[in-house]
Amino acid sequence: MMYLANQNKHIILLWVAVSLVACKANETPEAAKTYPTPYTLEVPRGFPNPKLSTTNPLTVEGIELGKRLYNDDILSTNGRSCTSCHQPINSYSSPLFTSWSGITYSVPPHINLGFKSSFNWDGSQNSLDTLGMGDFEPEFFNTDPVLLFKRLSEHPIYSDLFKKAYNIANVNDLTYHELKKKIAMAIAQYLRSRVSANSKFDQFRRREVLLDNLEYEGYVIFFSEKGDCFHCHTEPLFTDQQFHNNGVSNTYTGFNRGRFAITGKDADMGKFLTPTLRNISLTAPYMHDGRFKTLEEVVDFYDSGVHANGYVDPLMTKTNGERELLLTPLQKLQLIAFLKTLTDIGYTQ
Amino acid sequence: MKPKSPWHLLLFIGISAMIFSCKKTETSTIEAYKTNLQIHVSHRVGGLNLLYDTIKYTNLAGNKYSLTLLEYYISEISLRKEDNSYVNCQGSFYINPALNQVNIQLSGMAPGRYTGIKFYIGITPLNNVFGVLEATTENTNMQWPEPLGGGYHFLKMEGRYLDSTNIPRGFAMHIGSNEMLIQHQIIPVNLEVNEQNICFTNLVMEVNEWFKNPYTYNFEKDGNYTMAITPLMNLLKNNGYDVFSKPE
Ligand code: HEC
Ligand code: HEC
Repeated sequence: MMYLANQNKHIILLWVAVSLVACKANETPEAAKTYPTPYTLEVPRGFPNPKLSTTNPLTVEGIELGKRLYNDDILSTNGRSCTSCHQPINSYSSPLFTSWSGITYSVPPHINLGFKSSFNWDGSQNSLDTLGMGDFEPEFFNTDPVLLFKRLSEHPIYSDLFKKAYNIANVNDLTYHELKKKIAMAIAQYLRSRVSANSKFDQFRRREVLLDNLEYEGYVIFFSEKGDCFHCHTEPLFTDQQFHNNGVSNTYTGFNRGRFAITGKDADMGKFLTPTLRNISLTAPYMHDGRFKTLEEVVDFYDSGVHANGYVDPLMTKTNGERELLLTPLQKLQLIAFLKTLTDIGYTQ
Repeated sequence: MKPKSPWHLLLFIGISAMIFSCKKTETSTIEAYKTNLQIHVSHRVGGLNLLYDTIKYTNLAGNKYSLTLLEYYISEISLRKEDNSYVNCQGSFYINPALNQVNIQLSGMAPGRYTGIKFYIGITPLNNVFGVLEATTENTNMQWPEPLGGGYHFLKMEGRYLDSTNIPRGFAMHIGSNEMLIQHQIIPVNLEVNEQNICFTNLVMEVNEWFKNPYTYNFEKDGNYTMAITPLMNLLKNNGYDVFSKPE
C-alpha cells in the first residue's frame, strides 16, 4: 500500500467523490439510452442520393432486425426465407421462380435497392417498405399468423429487437397486418443498408486497378455508340431506372407485356424496368423470364436478335434503321469481359 | 394505396437547391437583391402542346413523327438590361416536360427592367466534365460517356417516325460534347423585376424548329441516330439557335 500524507488523503477522497459523481453522470445517459439508434448510410462517391423513407428511417436496430428476418425461416411454414429465392451466392437472386399462375420469373437480385424507386420487372411496386408484405401469402411463405406471433414473441432476440427498433413492447399487441408491415419495414431497412460499390470496375473508377485489354475494349464498346449499352444501363447503378422495350419479344402476351400490364398504356407494351448489370455474372439466366442462359446469348441477342417492331425502344435503332450492332466475335468477348468486371464478390459474402 | 415515395420530396429539394443567383458582369461587388425571376418553359410541336407517344407531328422534311423523350439542359442565362448591359446567372437547369421539370428559378438580379434573355442549350465547358453535376438520377442518365469525351448529353430527343414504307422506326437525336454547345439567340422580353414580387415569365420550345432553318433535317435521309456522330450533331446544333421564343 502506498503511503499518503494526510493532506493528500483529503485530495484523494475528494477525487473519489468527484469520480463517483462522474460515474453517476456517465451512467445516466447510458441508462436513459434511447432506441433506436440512428444509422447513417455511407453513399459511395458518384452514387445518387438513396431513396430513404421518412416514415421508416434507418436505425442500427431496425437493420439488425431486418437482417435476421431476411435470413430466417421463422416467417414461413414451408422452410423458406427470403434468401431461399434471393440467394447470397447469386447476388441475392436465384435462377427461376414459377408462380402458381404459371408465370416464370428470373428472380431479380437484391443489390443497391436503396437507390431504386420502382421494384419488380414491371415496376408494379413503388415502396420497398411494403413490398415484403406480399411474401406471407401461401404461394411464398405460407405463413401461419398464430404460429408467427408465438415464435416471434417467445424469441428473446426478436422481442428485444422489436422493442428497440420499433418500440413494440410485445408483438402480440399488433394485428397481423401491423406485424407484417413492421417485418417488411425492418427488412427494407436492411436492404437499403446493403450497398455494393466494390466491383473491379468500381476499383478501376477509383484508379485502384487497371482493366486488362479485353475488359477495357469491352468498356469502350459498352460506353460508346458501338454497343450503346450505357443509355439504359447507366453508371453508377447500371440502370437508368426507366422502363424500356429492349426488343426481346415480338409478340406481347402475359408477362411479355411488361409495364403495359400495370399502366394499360399502349406505349408501355413490352417495357421493363432496366435491370442493373451489377453482379450480372452471378444472376443467370437473363431477362424477365430468364430466356437467355448465358451472357453470350444476351450479347448475341443485342448484336443481331433485337425484334424490330413498332414498340421497340428508339435507342435500339442504330444509324439508318439498322438494328444490328455488327460486333465481331472478338468484340463480343470484350463486351462480356467488361460485364464480368461489374462483379462484386465481397457483396455476396 | 401505395404510400407516396420520398422521391417527390428529394425532387423538390433538388429543384429548390437549383435556384441560382445572378451577377452583373463587369462589376466586382456582388449585390444581393431580394429579387426572384421564375421562367416557365413549355413545349410545343407544330404549335400544339407536346403530347408523347403519338405519331401525329410532321417536320418540314415531311417526316411524320412522335416524341417519347425530351430532356435537356439550359445554362448560363443572361438577362439584358435597358442599357444593353447583361446580368449573368450561373448554373444549369435540367428540363424534362415528362417529369414536369419545367421551371427555372433565378434570384438576386438588380431590380429594374429587362429587355432580353439569352442562354446556352447544354452545359458550358467548365461543368461539362464527367461527374461534376450532382449525381441525381436525371444527371447520371444524361452522362456523356468518358470514351466519347465525358460530360453530359446537352439534349436527348427520342421518338418514332414513319419511314417511306409507313413502318414506325425509332430516332434518337442526341447532342453532346463541348463543340456542340448551342448559344441560343437573344429572346426579346419585357420584365419588371422588383424586390416585392416574384417576376414570372415563360418561354416556349417549338420542337419542329430543331428540324429546320437552316437545315431541313430528314430522319430517313440524314440519319435517325446522332449520338457522337459529329456531322449530324452539327446539323441539329445549327438548327438549335432559335428553338425558343416568347409566347404572345
Ligand atoms: C419463392 C421465391 C421468393 C421468395 C421466397 C421471395 N422472393 Fe422476392 N422476388 C421473387 C420474384 C420472382 C421477384 C420478381 C417479381 C416480379 O418481378 O414481379 C421478386 C422480387 C423482389 C424484389 C424486387 C427487386 C427489384 O429490384 O425489383 C424485392 C425487393 C424482393 N423480392 C424482396 C423479397 C423479400 C424481402 C423477401 C422475403 C420477405 C422475398 N423477396 C422473398 C421471388 C421470391
Ligand atoms: C433501350 C434500353 C437498353 C439498352 C440500349 C440496352 N439494354 Fe440491356 N436491358 C434493358 C432492359 C429493359 C432489360 C430487361 C428486359 C427484359 O427483362 O425483358 C435489359 C436486360 C439486360 C440484361 C439482362 C439482365 C438481367 O438481370 O436479366 C443484360 C445482361 C443486358 N441487358 C445487357 C445489355 C448490354 C450488354 C447492352 C448493350 C449491348 C444493353 N443491355 C443495352 C434495356 C436496355
